Amino acid sequence: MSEPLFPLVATSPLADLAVPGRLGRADGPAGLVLRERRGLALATVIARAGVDRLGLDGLGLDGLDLPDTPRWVAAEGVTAVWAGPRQWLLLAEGGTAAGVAPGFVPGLARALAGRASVADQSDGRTVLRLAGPAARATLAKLAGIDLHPDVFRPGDVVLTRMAQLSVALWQVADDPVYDIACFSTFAASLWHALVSAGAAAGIDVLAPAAAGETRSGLP
Amino acid sequence: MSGQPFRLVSGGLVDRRQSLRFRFDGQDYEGFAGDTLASALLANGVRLVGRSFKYHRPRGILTAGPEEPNALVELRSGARREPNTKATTVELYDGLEAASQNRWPSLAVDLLSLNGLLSPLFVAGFYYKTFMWPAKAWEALYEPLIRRAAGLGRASGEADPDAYEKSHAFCDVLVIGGGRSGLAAALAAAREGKRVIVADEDTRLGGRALTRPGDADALAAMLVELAANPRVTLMPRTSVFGVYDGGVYGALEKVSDHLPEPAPFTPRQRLWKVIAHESVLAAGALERPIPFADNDRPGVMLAGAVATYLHRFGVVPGRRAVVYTSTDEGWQLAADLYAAGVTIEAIVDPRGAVAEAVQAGVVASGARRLIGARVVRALGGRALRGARVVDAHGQTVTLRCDLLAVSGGWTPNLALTHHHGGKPRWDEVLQSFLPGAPPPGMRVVGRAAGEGLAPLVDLPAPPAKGKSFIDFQHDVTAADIRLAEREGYRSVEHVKRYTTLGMATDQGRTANLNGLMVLAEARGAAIPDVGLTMARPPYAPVAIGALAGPHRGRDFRPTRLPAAHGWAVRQGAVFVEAGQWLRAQYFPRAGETDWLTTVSREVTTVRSSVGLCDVSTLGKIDVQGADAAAFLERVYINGWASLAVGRARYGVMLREDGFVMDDGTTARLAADHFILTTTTANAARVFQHLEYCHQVLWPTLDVQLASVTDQWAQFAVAGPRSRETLARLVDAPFDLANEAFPYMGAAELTIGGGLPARLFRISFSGELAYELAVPARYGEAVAAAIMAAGADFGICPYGTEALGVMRIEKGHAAGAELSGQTTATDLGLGRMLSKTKDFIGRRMAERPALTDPARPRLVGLRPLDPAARLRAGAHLVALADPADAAHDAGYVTSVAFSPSLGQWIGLGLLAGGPDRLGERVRAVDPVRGGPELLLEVCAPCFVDPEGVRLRV
Repeated sequence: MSEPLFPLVATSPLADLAVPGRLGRADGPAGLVLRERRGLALATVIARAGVDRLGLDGLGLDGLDLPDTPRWVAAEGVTAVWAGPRQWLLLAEGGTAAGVAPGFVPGLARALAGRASVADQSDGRTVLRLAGPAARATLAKLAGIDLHPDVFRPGDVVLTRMAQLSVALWQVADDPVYDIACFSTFAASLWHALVSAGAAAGIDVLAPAAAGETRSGLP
Repeated sequence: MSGQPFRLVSGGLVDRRQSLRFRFDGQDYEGFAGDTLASALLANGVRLVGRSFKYHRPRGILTAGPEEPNALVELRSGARREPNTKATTVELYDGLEAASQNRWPSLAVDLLSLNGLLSPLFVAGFYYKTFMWPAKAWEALYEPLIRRAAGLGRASGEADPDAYEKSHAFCDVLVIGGGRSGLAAALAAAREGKRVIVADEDTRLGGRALTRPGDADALAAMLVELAANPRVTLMPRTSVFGVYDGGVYGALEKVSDHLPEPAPFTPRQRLWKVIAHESVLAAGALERPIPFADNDRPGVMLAGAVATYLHRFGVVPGRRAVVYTSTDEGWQLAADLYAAGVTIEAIVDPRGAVAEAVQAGVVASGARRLIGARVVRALGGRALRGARVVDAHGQTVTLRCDLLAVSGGWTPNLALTHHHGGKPRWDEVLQSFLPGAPPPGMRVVGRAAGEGLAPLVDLPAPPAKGKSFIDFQHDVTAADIRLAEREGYRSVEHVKRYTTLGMATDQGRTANLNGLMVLAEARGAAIPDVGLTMARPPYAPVAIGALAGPHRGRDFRPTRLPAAHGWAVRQGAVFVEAGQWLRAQYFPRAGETDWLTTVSREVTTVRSSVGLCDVSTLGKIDVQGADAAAFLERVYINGWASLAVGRARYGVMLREDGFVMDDGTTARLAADHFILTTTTANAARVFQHLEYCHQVLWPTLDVQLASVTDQWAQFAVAGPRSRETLARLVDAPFDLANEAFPYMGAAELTIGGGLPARLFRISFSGELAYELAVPARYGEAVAAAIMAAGADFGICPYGTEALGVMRIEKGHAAGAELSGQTTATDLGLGRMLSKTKDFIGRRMAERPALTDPARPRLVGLRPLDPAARLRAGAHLVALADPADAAHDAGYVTSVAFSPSLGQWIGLGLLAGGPDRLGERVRAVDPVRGGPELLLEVCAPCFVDPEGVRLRV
């Protein structure tokens, strides 16, 4: 009935912004390293009433014990980020810069049918990865969250406001490395705020990597 | 050195090898690194620095810190000009430019000083008394006159070219004040492993220790240990200006104020929100002046400030000094000044006796010692020439001097302890106010807690004659306070407001205690019975720019961009802000010279063929769960249980109070899965409302809510050729035929060869129409694909204007009608109110006032003159009634030029509207003016009232 009239090419809300290169202070090593994590499959998972313990074993993710406090856990390329009582944001790697890991969200919905409601957010959230020696000071300008290593460590998650936007922020690694998930239609605004806040430190923008390439944190 | 005649050869913390050039009132000078503008001016012998607020009296430098009331200057030039800057807090930099302010034509010859001769007019409350009548003259005459005569510096009038930043800091202990007490507290906390922040408004930590050469080594040792501790953050140039709830402190860091301009990517100032488990207030003490007539002559200075200029900056502010002191410290200053080569004319001490040991230090200077004496008047005009003293025997003595160092003793700097409303307590021993109930978590140490302070002694009352200034910055004299008291202002808070005592940018730090003293004396009361005025944030002035931080201009708030924004840009769209969204308003084409031509062409294209509109901004909420339908039954006024899977329905929600909150179309994708849409404006509010209903009202319902607004790019494809257009996109075997996918159908399908999508057959335009939703990353591509698919039919993109025109033609309520003041019945939706179930707002909607048939209700409005332009906001009045508020029958909510009718039409809320169809009313516009229009009231639907086109 239909033949392609136009190639259906995917576009990131950061297509014109997350361009590899140096921003802000030009000399010396960059204090901040920034990249968009493209190609993630994302889903909001909310437990249904009466389901006390939601397991993902049906998905071959036996090791993924969904956290009931603001933490994240990961196994087999899937990360589960606490997103409120009885709800999580699931991120699956394995996509490409052009498309998400195919079938992950529908598979999730099938496996959890009757036990949890799944809403695809692969296009609804944009995830940024932030690293570098100035990462903490930069985030302090945007969020009222104590990120001191005594208080906030790898594995920790916080839902907060950043530059007047709702975000989920979690620490990936000690170095420190952070991920920030925001509503996609605000991604350009958040990007702009991060770049303004980090400009004094100098920013290296890396190519928007497909998720699989960023599993062990940034170089 | 010859350029700095008052600079000592050695001593102080300035770097004499690093010379800095600066300019004041067009004259070039030199100072040293480590100077303030004030110390550098004094080093150069400049003592006349400004003119006072009201009387334009010549003023010099009174203090050496942020309590300075007199030495206010305009700093920098051009867009960076900053008025009312305290010269005592400006760190000198090479190339600094400053100018005196509030003088005309020059500082030395200020013609407005004639105000001083009019001073009987300018007494306390003079605005209220003098300019009462006639009222009309206030704006035209009095206010401009007063503003010209009484004032401070001039703002630049240009946009601030610098950037400001906000940041957050967290700690166990926030130490406010980096003097020895503060640093000792910081060290103690740091040694326990606590996270410590030390904030001090000065450019260097050390506080008073910086003015005491003997303290230097101990200070250095403390700073070394603190700086080496990674859990300690030292923040000089940072003033803590407010204490807020929950251990939150506001602080302002002057990052670049000591530079000609900020370095690239660096803010001028940074506003800190500090969250601290506890705080230590080590704000030190403030010196109290002793009032006497003409005590504002340039050359009259606080003794502690003179000590600071001498010891920290290596500057002697005069050649021949009189020290007027009620403390032993003043005697020490006299000795130090003498050692620095200053002639000491006399020491005047109002106390009855001074210990011999104290006096011994000044014997060598040969100074006269006038004990039990008081200064009654300073002599001189633009510079101090002497002082008139009444000695212990009542004899008047005239002393010659160019420096009069004054000290009435020291009192704790309490301001921050008041910020939670805590009152200070009176200490009988120290005869001073001490911290009473500081904010929770705050501990007060050092001189701020009264430690090490000498008891205050009673000061001589200011003489009855002459101007004895209490508040220098606001030109409030002892006589003003006495007058206020005579006029019945007895409460200290009332006196403050009536006289403006303590209300200037220095917050009356040098004024408040003496003001109290004068008021207490006038009332015949004791100082503790008079009480202290409450200090409130901010402790120090904070620029509005710093409070705004980066949120200004286009960054005032975040911008939300639909997924296909880039596509719309390439189509040449003109954009409009809709809440946070940037939406395409219309898409002008070559040759179209005004928006109305464009919009009419877009409407006509949709009504005759097909158009494309990005409707991604509508809120989309995913509602799932076994009780999803039951949940919707409770939040919507109409029924949902019966809605079949694969169907959509229009729904209306009420607030608890019975008024309409929002409307939208909701589709059932599965028995336990709905997709609910909201208006663009109310998306966040509706989601919040639904979460509230679920979490608080009905937590047992099995419902899960997720915002999926961002997930889907959604496009309205509207017009008689919309089916043919979409047919080129949807994948087989999906059937778009009317029977297979009728009006109000909803389906999940694929398009373009496998892309998952959702299709809804809903219409805002009144035409055959669909809304196609695709994953947002394909928004741009799908918009382009729809355009390609409709090219043969002459498809055009249309924006919010054409959308609005068509919904007005169809009488759909939108923002102007969903005003929060309309009921479902007002909007003609009363029949949707279910009688068979309960829902939010049902009971309140039954209140008599909400069911009154005479309420303003939705109607269509059509000018009788087809050429007339109707305007939204015009009021509706019956033909026979006068056009006044008493006869106001409603108003025009929305208007549009209808290309379908070839004239302007409108929607309005008219009293008893539906019963008045066919009646003629007048539209009057008394606020904006313009001619009255005759309108015909009609049903609120101008195009295809039977809705035939929707269902073809």
